[in-house]
Amino acid sequence: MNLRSRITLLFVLLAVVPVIIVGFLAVYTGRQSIEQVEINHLVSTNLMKSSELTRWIAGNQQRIEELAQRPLMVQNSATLATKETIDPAYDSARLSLEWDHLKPRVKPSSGFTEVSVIGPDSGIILASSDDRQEGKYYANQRFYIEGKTHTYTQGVFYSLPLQQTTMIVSTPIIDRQNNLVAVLAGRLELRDLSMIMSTQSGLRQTEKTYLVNKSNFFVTEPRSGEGYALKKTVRTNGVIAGLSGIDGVGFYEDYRNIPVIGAYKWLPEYNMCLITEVDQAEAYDRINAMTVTVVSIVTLLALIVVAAGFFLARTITRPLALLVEGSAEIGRGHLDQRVGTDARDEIGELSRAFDRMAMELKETTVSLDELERRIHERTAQLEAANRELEAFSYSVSHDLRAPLRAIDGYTRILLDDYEPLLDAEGKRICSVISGSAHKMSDLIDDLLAFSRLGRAALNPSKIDMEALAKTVYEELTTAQSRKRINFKIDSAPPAMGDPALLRQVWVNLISNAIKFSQHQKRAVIRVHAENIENEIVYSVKDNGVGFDMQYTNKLFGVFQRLHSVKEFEGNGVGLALVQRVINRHGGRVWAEGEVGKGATFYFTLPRQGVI
Amino acid sequence: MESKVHLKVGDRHKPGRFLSVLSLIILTAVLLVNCQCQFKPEQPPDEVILQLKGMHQAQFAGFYLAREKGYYTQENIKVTFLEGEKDLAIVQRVVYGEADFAVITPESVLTARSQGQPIKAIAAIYRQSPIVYVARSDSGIVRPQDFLGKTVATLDASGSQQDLQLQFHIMMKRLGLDISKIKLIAWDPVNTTFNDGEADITSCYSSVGLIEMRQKGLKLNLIWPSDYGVYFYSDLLITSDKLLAENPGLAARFLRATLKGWQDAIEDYQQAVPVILKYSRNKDPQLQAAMMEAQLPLVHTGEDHIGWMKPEDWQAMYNLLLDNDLLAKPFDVNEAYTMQCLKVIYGSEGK
Repeated sequence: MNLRSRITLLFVLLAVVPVIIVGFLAVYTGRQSIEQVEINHLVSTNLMKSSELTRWIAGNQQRIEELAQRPLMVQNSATLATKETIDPAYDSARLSLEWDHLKPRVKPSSGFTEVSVIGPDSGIILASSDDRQEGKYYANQRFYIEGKTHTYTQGVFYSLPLQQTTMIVSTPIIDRQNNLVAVLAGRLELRDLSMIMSTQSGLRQTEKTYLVNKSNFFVTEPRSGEGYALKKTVRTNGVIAGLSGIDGVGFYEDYRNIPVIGAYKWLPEYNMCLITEVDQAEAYDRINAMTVTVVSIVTLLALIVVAAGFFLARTITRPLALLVEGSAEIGRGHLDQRVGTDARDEIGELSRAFDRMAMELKETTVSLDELERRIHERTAQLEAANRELEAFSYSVSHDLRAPLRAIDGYTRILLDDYEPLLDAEGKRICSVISGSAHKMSDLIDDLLAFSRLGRAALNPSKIDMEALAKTVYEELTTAQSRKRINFKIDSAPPAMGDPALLRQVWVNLISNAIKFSQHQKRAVIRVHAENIENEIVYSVKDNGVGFDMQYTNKLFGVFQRLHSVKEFEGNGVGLALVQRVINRHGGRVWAEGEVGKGATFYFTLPRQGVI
Repeated sequence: MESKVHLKVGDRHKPGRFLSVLSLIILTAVLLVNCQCQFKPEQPPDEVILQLKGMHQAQFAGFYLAREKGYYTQENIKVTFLEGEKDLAIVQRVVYGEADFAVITPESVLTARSQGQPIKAIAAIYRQSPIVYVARSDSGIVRPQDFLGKTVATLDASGSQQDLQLQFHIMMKRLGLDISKIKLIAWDPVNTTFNDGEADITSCYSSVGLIEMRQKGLKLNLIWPSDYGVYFYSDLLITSDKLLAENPGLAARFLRATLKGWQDAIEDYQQAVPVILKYSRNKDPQLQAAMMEAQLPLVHTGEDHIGWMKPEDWQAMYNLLLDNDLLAKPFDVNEAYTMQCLKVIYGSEGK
């Protein structure tokens, strides 16, 4: 996963997870509190409805009682109860009752649909607000039986003759002598009851309140339909609990099989259960709305955070990507590439540092190039000079040979052909001339060899240095001279190099050692070698005359000599040759010594390539 | 180290516990099988014949539901329904064991009992009488007093509907009205005489005829006998004294299943309609539903358990018949019914 994704993801995690948790808690607690509010509302609705119901019934009872206590009511009822129907007083009493007392009671919104006076013994309706009711016989009706002694309300029941549900309040009409004169019965306007039940206190669309009787029949119409009252039963959990005498709240399916929150209240005085329900769908609507809001906020926030994270990650990773690109470009050698940004943060700092680095690198590279160029130039100049020098020395040497040979040849002719003519001194001079010519010839040979060495190609191979040194020693000495010399090779590991040239090195060094120790009674010569780091350091040590270390610089120069020819013969080319050979093999040479105490000559060869 | 030891102990115990659980299950299963053998012997069902009062229709919905829903089977009863026919002496059938149970009116029960027939009502399916006298709403006839000088279709020679005529006579006599001032003509189930105007008033059943008339759109005044002190139960479930004495359990079981069926029928009367249509000759679902609706207040008055009977009601019905000289001789009204089956089902409380 790249840096940008990681930063974005981190942002999302850091921001969205807490928001989701908070949102969930908000929804959860919101749900709880809304549920509680809903429950409280339902319960209080139930309480309110039941008290309204009680007040409604009590109010109607009171009105019936008031009517029953009116003197004229009592008097006329007594007339009807005692007089014969043919008695003129009967009719006038009946008419008075009907027109003055009963009919005015059944005006709209009076609360009664019918008010009747029922005979005390017969149970027959003597007078009624509804003419049709007169003559009807209510002796076996409960409201009549109970109403003879006290005010009574017969709960909602289905009247077959009226073909409708009905509710009756009855009360005795009693004269001054406390005799029962009649029973006054009022049929209640059930629309008022329905109104009480259906009037909504809240704003809830699906809220409904209804009454259920002990036999599980609807007493009032539930909100969603007609034809339920005393025709359909209901056995929801709420009704079952309510009818068992419990007041409470529940979550269950109502008679339509729709989930509701319901409050149920048992009304013992009416043997009915009061139910108030609201559809859970509606109750939870607000919760759902809140959930939608919270989810929207979370989603929006998440989107913002993702976007912010993305862009922030971009501001971090884009300079980084530029940096990577720029460094790759620089790596390809384009040192003019610049990755610097204006950003004031650490990455900006880094990019600017990178630029500085590239700039300095460029400067360095430029000076190196310049140096190299100069080296090349100088080298070329030096090589040209060297070549000229070599050519010069070669031609000089070569050209000097011819006159030397002439000098030597003519000196020989003098000695051979004119010997008798020469005296001893002449002969000596001639031999000096010849000797000098030879010496010069040798000198020239050495010079040629030396100059050739600069040009000749190396033919490296593996060389047994010990054997080589030993062979050279034996070639340089005679059996006679060896008696005087203690020559010993401690160790001389093999090396890679040109056999002819290295042989020359040994020749020069060993012959030097022999030469400079010739005046010793007993010459000691030691050949030694050891591995030091990547090199093999060879040394040849003698106990000869030695040298003063202050002249050590001169030792390896051409024609440089520390001793006179008389003391020790030689032409001053040997060590220069050694140095040249060794240098060409990638090694070094140096020497240590003290006057009268011998000298040690060192040379090194690289171990590389030696198995 | 310790955990290893625990593991070992656990492992050793596992098979033991498993075995004990297994043996417990087997033991329980064996016991259950034994119980079933003891408590549910494969007895052949009691075959029972129910004599209905009339043709198959919504009036008997509770019986149909009890059979269709398997309530009779649960009581190990196999029931056969017999339709009522004209002039059928239903009481005789029960007395002679041709039918075990029957549906008839209290008038029939009381008159038969006064004649010494050994039958008893065990429950009241209709706890109110569906009988109603109807007149056109524009006729001005609103009470029995208005019948004087009018033509009433209520005479009926046939047995099962004689209550129409009976209650009419009782009502008129109770109100002190001179029946000779009324022209009585024959009642017919389709109300031909009323429809063509010959009869001003016709008697009918609120649960049947009234619905048909209302379906025709007639506007009617209803005069109910119960408003004038003529209060009768209607459809009663009866059986013979013999059956009650010899097999009281069967009577109770049959009644229990029947009342369950009726309970279902009134709980949601629309649900009962498809079942009714399986039996009824009339296949009009709307009519059957309307009949079901109309009989709800007859079956369930909102006061007591369905089927419940009250001594005071019986006494009142007896008195009415006795006062009208409709009983052969006075007798103890308690012999005409028994609460023994209802009390087995509901206990001694009616509510």
